[in-house]
Amino acid sequence: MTPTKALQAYCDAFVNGDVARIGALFAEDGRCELPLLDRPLQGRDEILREVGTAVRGLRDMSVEFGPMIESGNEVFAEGIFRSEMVGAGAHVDLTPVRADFRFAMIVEMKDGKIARLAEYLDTKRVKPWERQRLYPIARTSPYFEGTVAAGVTEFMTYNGMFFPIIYSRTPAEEYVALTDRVTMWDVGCERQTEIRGPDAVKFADYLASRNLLTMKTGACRYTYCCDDSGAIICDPVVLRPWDDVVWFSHGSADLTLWAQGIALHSDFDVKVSEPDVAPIQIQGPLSADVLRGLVEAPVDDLKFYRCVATRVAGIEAVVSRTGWSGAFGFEVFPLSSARAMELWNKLREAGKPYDMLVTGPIVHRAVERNVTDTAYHMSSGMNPYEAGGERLVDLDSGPFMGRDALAQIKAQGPRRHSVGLLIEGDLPRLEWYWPVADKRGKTGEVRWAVHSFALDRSIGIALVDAAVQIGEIVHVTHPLGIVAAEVCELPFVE
Amino acid sequence: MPSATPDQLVRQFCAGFSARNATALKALFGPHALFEFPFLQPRLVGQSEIWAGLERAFEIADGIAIELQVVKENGGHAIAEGRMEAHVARDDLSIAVPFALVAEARDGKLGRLSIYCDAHPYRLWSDGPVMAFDTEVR
Repeated sequence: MTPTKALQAYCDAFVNGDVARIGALFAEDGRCELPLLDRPLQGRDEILREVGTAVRGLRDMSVEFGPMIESGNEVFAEGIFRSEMVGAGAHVDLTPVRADFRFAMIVEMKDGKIARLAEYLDTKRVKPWERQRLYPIARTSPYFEGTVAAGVTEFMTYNGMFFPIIYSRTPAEEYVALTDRVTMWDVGCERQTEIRGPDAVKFADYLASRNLLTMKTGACRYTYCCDDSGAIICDPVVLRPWDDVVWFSHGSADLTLWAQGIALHSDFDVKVSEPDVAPIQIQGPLSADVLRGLVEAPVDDLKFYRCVATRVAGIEAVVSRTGWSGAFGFEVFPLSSARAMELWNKLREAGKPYDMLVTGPIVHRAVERNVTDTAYHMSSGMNPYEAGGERLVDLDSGPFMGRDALAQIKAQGPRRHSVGLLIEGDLPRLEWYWPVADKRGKTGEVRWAVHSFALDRSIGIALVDAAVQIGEIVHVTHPLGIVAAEVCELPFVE
Repeated sequence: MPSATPDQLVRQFCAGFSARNATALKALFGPHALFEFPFLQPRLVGQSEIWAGLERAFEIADGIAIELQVVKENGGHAIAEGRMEAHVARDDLSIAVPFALVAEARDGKLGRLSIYCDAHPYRLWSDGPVMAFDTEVR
């Protein structure tokens, strides 16, 4: 094969997503230099893996060549690449997010195979130029410096903190890193409501919809915290790292203030506070490999929804087998932020052999697995029965906040329920809840909506009237138009 | 004097760039030439604008060195691969990037010179007044 034919074959295979064909073009020890990746790819296996991820995240690709100069075993070319990014939503003006750029490419052949392929382009055309600006109205995470170095571009505010959610990667790169390798998330904004004292477990049980009285030291539990009307305040993971300490590791809600208010007007012997504990999540199938050498306690012995007080890189911490990926992973809770960046850097170093990627929470995967997060100010007054969390309400275990209201809701039957939606077409980014309607009129709202990489289609999670049934066709109104959606069971992916 | 080939123009450009000689570089370009260099945005068009952009770059950068690894020529085009280093004194920033360039010759001058390199990790050299009206074009 001539260098020119190899270059054309590579580009043809790339735009057609034919990864096997790309693999066949490269020499076993071939090298691929693509500026959009962090480092050159060495060897056919690595090239196949990374190029496979790249083509998964793009569609409607085309390459147009300009001048090409072949000389000996090399070819030099100039071209234009055009594509649309999958799963990135649309721009604010609703135009699709594109990856279009001009490039120069050099291919060197050896024994009829590509020995080196080097692409040159200015990635400013594709990657965001700088991070979003912040305001001092919210706190930065103690890992802020690390997230900036890792290329964070967007934050959201969460528990009065800036939560890094978008980095300069394609959604496909992040998704594959989570499902095939390992990812590291700064979730310093996931605050702990700490309940300390002789009545810690009893008081925690009073705040939670689930029976926590049976929680032993080292246990974790997922629960709801509800107000007195039964509306969800948040859905925290509860940890009991020590005998007299319970943490509610919670989403964006003033849970500590709520708990302090209740404690002040009760006889529980507890002290409620928000400690300086900023967690990091290590999620993905290789997460234990990353942590094994850093955590003093044996991480392989830590069972699902168990936690242990230990040291991580010599820093006092609690480690739990929990996380927001709905799959294998850990959370690391250092007991102080004093050595936060030291911990961050040690974790990153330990993750290098596994190509660990720093990302935000990967919503595409979470929605596929029906892993959600409810915040009081955006809960639409949803109660656990409507959220699909009946198993998380223990009406018979004793008094707890919201119990009477929830008992009444259960007796009457919830007015709404949470369902999956298989939504037609592409989706913009969900910036507010989209209305759902059927022949009866407005029947609910879409609370989560993403591109599913597992199903290769648009999906969503909606809160709809109880009358809306599985299999029914509803209509979703989002900024790109009104589209049909089929109501389905949750989760989308087991 | 015979007109320069694309290969010669590329080599002369790299030598002039390393010598930070904007005036000599200006003479390599045709009157309506296009110069694309990710560190100088936007695209520079015409000799005066190219000269102004290069002057601005040379004002704030020193220690410029371009190493050309290979230059291939065919007809009116040359494509080259190399490596560039520079130091931006203003920001005490060292730049070291591999690059490829595509040169298009017209009438013995550069009609287009497009340099491909990744400028994302760096601030632009062109922060400042690089634009100039091209009096020759007007």
